[in-house]
Amino acid sequence: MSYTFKLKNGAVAVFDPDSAMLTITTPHGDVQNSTLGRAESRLLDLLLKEPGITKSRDEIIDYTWNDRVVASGSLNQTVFSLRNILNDSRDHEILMTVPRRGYCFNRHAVVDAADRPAPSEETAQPSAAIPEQLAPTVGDESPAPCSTTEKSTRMTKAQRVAYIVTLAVAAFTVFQSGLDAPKVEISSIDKNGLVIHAVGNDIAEAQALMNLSAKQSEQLPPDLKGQVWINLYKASYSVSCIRPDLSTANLQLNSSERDLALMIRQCLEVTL
Amino acid sequence: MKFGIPQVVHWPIIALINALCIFSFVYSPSHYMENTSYQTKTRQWLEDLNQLNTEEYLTIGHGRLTGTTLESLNEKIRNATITANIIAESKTHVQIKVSNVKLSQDKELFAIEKTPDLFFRRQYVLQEGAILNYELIPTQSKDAVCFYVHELGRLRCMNH
Repeated sequence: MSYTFKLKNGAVAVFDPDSAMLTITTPHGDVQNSTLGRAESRLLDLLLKEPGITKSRDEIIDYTWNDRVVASGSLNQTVFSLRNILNDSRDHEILMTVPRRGYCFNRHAVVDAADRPAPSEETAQPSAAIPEQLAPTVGDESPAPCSTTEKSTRMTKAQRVAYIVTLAVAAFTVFQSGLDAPKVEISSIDKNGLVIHAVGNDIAEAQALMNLSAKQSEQLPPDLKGQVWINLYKASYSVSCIRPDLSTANLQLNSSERDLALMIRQCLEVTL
Repeated sequence: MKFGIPQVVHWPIIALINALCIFSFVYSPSHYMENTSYQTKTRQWLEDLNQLNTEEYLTIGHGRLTGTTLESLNEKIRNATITANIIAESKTHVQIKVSNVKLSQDKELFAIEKTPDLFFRRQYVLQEGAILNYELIPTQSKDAVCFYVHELGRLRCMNH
């Protein structure tokens, strides 16, 4: 796809980004063909894709130099060079500088496809269908030559770097919250205010301990309240409890010596 | 890489993601209250059926964990204090490295000869540099904390 736009003094330019060829036809019908340098071609291509839309310096550098690291002076030099080619070095009316924002291509300079003469006519009368003035006339309600209201969707290099850093931060956060640590499984049962939790290294172990605890807890008085945690470690039972008065106690004994129901009751009732 | 969102929106998105990460990193509510002294009593029946009674105190805060155990057996009392640095922490886990151990006597705590398993566990925990993983177990009470120490197979509930 080629772009057609007006230059000063009625000249018309056609730019083909694929071949980087810029063809300028003067009002007298003289045709000048020139091949732009890569940087000038890429810059012109980017700006002509969205004429009237301001492109930031980062965005232009990203696109023009394809992520290569270049000095900021390179962009200034390329803009300077392109303006010379477009005969815009003095007034900057075509390749416009938007202070503190970047550059844009004057949308009034671009010839719409509808305004463009047919190819056969173009060669013969290049400026016939093209208005001579770049700027809109007084009272013209057409939009400003450059606008920043339309938002570019192209991500800048700085934003890409920021996303990568953010990704690393997020990964670190997830890693931290995960904390590669062993984990116990808990199986619980609530018997009228007596909550028993069986703690095991896996679900099956916790469930087996819970079944044993539930069976033995049938012997307990119905008015016994509190929270109890039970664990079996190397043939020793541990029973830890929080009593209704929020005091705590812990018992530990060999599994062969006493039954669990008695341990639960002692844990919840007996002053150690 | 091209997203279908306006360029100016990227920065707030980046800022928001980072803010959420930092918030979740800094604000990690645990099942315990920092700098609160928890205590509990424990009774253990030894193989000779003697009762080993202990009072235990625990404080976690400012990246450190301090645990003190007062142990009584046959009317004799000994104590041990362990200070450890928290080397990793999440909502449900606290990983510590023992940095200092103080015993009331040069000898180990009671009952080591009567309960070999207890002896080995104590040898481990009373050694500077030992790593211990505390898993905090959710409770219905804010005033109590329950945890399981994986290396010792120790289950405890403590209140303040």
